[in-house]
Amino acid sequence: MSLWQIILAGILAIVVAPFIGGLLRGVDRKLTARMQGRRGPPIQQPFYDILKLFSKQTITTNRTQLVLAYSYLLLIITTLVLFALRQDLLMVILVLGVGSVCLVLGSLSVRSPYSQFGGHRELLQLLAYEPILILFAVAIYLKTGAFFIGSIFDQGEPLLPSLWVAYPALLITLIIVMRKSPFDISASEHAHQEIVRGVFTEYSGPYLGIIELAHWYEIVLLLSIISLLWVPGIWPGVLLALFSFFVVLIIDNITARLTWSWMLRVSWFGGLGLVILNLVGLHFFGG
Amino acid sequence: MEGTILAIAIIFPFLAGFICLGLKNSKARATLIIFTSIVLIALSILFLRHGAFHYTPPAEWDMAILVLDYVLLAYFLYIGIADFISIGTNIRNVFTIGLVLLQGIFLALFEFSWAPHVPLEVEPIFFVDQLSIIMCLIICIIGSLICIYGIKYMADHEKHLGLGKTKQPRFFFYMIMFLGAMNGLVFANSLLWLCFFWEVTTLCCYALIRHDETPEAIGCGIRALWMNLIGGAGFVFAIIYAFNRLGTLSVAEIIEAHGVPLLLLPLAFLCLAAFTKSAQMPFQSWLLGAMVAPTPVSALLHSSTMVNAGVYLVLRIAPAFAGTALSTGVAMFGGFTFMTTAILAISQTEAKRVLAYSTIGNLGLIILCAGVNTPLAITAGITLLVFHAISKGLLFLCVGVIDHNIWSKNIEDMQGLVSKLPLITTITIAGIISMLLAPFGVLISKWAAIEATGALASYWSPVILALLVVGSAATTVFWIKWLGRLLSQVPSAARAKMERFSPIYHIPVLLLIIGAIGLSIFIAPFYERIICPAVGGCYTPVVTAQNWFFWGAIGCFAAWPIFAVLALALVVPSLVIRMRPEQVRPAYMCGENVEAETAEFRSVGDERTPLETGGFYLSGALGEHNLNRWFNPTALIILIILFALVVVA
Amino acid sequence: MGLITTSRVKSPWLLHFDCGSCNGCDIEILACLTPIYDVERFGIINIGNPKHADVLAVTGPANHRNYRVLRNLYEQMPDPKVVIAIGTCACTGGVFHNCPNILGGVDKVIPVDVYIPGCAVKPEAIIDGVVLALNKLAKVG
Repeated sequence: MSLWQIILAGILAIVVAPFIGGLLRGVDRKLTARMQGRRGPPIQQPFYDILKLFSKQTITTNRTQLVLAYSYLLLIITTLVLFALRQDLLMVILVLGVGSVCLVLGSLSVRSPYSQFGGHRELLQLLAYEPILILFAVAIYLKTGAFFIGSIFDQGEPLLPSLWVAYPALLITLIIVMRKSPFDISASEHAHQEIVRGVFTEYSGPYLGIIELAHWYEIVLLLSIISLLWVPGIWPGVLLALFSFFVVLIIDNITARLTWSWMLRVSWFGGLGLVILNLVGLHFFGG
Repeated sequence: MEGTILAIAIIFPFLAGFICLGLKNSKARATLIIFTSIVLIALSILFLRHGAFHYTPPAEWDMAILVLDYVLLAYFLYIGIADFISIGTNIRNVFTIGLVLLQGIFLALFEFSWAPHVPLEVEPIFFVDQLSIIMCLIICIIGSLICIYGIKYMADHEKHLGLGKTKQPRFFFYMIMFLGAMNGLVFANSLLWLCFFWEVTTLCCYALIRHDETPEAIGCGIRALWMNLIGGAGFVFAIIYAFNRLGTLSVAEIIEAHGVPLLLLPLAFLCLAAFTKSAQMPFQSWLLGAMVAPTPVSALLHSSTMVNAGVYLVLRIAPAFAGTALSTGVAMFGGFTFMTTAILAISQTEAKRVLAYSTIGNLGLIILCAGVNTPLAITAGITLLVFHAISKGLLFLCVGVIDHNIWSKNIEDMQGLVSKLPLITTITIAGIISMLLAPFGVLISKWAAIEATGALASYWSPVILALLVVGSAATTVFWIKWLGRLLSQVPSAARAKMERFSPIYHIPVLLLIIGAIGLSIFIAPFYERIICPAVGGCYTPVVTAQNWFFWGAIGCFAAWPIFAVLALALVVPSLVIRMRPEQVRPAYMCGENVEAETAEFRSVGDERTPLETGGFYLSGALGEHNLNRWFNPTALIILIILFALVVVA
Repeated sequence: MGLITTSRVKSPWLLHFDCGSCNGCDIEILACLTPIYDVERFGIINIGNPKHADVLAVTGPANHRNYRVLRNLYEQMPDPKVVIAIGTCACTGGVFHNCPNILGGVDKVIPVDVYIPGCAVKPEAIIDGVVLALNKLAKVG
């Protein structure tokens, strides 16, 4: 990749992605409100939220959670930059795991009942969706012959026709990462839940803003991974990603929250099973 | 010169062990241990500089090994009979006596009536190649650091137990002799010599597990003995079949005979020996029981060295069964062990048991790599072998230091340790991170293993992959849970004060963590100079190291840029971020907090109640009693299918 | 208004605490969240966590037991923050004024910025009160 392309990729990943993420969150809240028969906040609401958070006083329970909030943000940004630079997809997913672990550790570092619950549940979420993503990377390898994201672009053929069996598994992953029902187990957007705000309970002010920002990057990363399914030309992939986003919103509004054991069962037997079926199919019918 | 360094590497530890047995003065013992360590470390580096060679000692040594082998078997028989006399018929002594007799009778039959002459000569006896040199480096460097650590550990251990007469001479006799036996094992090319050194390590394992001589320790020692003897019996059968079908007992020649169809049965028996030595499912109970032994034993034998002998053997004979059904079966077996032990570790509350399950799992992963048997997979296996040995040895030593400070090995008692014992806790945290997170060596090997398994052109590859990724996700859960307990602090702005620095405890641990981090940062040159020749012995290497990235054939891991990010993301904020006391707020307890800096709340009748938090152990769903009755039989079935495939095909 | 002040006014997160109320005012507060009044279009979210909240909406009078909890929650909220006393009981003690276990209105424990009288308060009055509070928040910035 030329220097120009590298700089452009960096700017896209670091500067443009949070704006896209924030707008998506705003659209999420607006559409949810409309589905519930309300007016809902304006689309730029998440930006007001984050600016308000950054302007609040810094209070905290210990230093460790502050450090780990920064780690979470920087590692997620790194993941997105690596993705934009078209590096090894498996490496991207493993580095994403490091970032998520920082969030968990930040919440476990506080001796608060809700924080501990949320941190452990977040670990179970990680247990649920990480296998799916890794096997999805292997499925892409079987189709394109390499783990590099760049090789998907070089190939010039859409992946969805051969990977459609694995697509619902990606939807399950998106539900978990976007923290939507039925798998918003570790924290929820709607208050008055049994573990207060779970993973995020002890964060406040600017550091909550940092975590929210990291969450926007994470959403953009997941949607980008989904958009890899139809790569020749950018727009089909983007439309696929937005369609998946919309499907997740609908599922969020028609389901209630399930327990962690249900989440593991659905992700492993449903999601992982589908991806393995896809892999077996790719072996049988030629990669 | 080559004979001399081999002799020193193998015989000198035996001699030093015997001298140690006689030394009553603890300072003299300590000096001897440190001297032996320096000699061994220097020797291993000498081996590295020298490179590959082979050597055959004079023929009298063959006779000596033959005799000593039977002496050893006789001692095992004596152990079995003594146990039978003391507690009557029990599965453990029945198995011990039965297996020793099986092994002894068939070995005698082979050596005295089926072999063409007594003793049977194999050329060459010792074959030193890059893989053996890597193992020798691990044994000598990590083993020596553990022995040095053991000097202070055993002194504190005996003071805590209030022992009148010290048992340390016997302890260090077995520990140091063990290093010599391991050196012999990794350099041996003759299956008879390999078998002998294999059984010496079994002896050391038995003696060291039962060191504390409580009924539990004695029971666990004998269990380890008979389970390892299953492997010994397998070894003897492998020797008989290999000589029968190939006419040779030289490992090098067996590897070169790849493609001979009747070869698979002896290889399967060798794999069985390796599986029992590395405590794979369903033999894992001996390693879990071995955790009653003092921590240096767990660090040396049961994480970084002895159990590595098993996976070393599988990696060494892997080229011989590449591309066969045995290979796929081995990969499936390794993957199954990896997944099941990772899930079982989630429900464990005792730190050493978590480490034991993690060890078994990682060994299963190395066996999976050997089973996948492509150049990328073997590279992953050898890399994992090295990094796992360093990190796991380090973690056991850290748990030992923590144990001697808080006198408990329970993870729940380690809550908030980062504010009480910052130095050792930070090293433990770094050790756990090095076992688990990108971009450290263990994770890069896992990445390579996933890519290699994905690239495996077999219909079973999706199943093996499923085992691999589920196990990998489960390992994250139990490590981070433990890490969370270590970090869980009461709200406060105060900086923790560092505890007293104890050189013998802290220096080996610091050296190991610096080694783990350094080798991970410089993984590309480390791979190029040290691991690549080991892979290149029997395969064409596919991993290269341009720009100091780790380039596989089909993917690339940019190790050092991610390290740079990690430094920026973790190290810099922890140095730079300051917290003022007025910024401290209590944890949220629905407004019933007593004060900010305590973990108490007001409960019924306004009573001050301490807040108790704990980790998730999920022992209802994922407990041993629930899962073992599914996992153990399944593992046994996979093993039986493995042998059936070999016999039938 | 500057960007920060606009953001503060457009994104007030509410912590609702029942300090001994009969629940009448609480039901009216929750009614504001329903589609008929829909305060989320002003960016108001009912967040259950003081560390995330800007606005503390209190109902009911302060008594010897819950004043501790109230102060604890108030102190766990980061600045800038506003307090709204909803209902007559929260303003002055209401019907329970001068009872032996009652301290009085909420302002006996924490500083109150907006008083909304009523028993029970109408949702429209609550929204008016919140708007007043937001104006105060804008001036604080």
